[in-house]
Amino acid sequence: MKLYDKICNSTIKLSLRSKKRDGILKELVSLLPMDENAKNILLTTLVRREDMGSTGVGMGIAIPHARSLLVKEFKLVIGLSRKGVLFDSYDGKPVHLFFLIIAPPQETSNSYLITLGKVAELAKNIAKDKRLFSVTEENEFFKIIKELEEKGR
Amino acid sequence: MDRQLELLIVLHDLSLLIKEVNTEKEAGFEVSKHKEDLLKAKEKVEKDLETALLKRYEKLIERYPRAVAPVIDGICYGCFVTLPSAFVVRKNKNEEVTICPNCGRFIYWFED
Repeated sequence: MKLYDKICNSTIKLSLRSKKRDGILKELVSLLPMDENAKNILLTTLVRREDMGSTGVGMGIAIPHARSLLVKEFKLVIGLSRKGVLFDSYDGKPVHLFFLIIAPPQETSNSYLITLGKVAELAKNIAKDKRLFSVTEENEFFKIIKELEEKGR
Repeated sequence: MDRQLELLIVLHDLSLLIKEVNTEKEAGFEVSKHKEDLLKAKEKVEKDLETALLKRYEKLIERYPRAVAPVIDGICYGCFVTLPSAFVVRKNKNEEVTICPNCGRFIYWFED
């Protein structure tokens, strides 16, 4: 599975405005197509997950994730904060790029764990390259992801 | 959405979060902080649930890994049996707690 294909089908917001962790999570969840009630439940789950330990993997990247009954299929939402947000990452650096991953409890393809792993793997290349932290166009974003993923092979 | 159904979904997702702690660790994520808060949150949800529903929930998780299942395209995703059409044509389906007539799990609809 190529991450690139998943990313092309994901929801992207390259201008996250929040300055705090929970605000960022709320902004990301708000991009999902579901009713307000469901969004609030999902947000609470994500905040609880972050409280157990940050999903910031360092190098300016975080992968907030959860399984929930509230989604029918695997969802990927990508957000970019140009200024960066403190996300309690282990390296203490602010996070710029967020990959929100939500998966249903039962999933035959197991996209959830595979995608988590792929994003974590790609994170190193993204951090080294740094171009993705200041991208303004979605097309440019896809192009760089494709390039980095191919480079990592 | 019915408040009790919402609580059942929250309880389900919370249990999943607690259960997946080990998988998370294997994947390399740090998940050691405030675990007791999760258990407390779960207790609180259990308290807010009606006693009969909680009892049913507990009985169900003795038998199945999960007690709440979504319905997608008229199929209960707990037992994968098609629900009777009387269930499917109902309006505002999530405004009450419903049980799958085949497997007995709590069911939840995605409104398309």
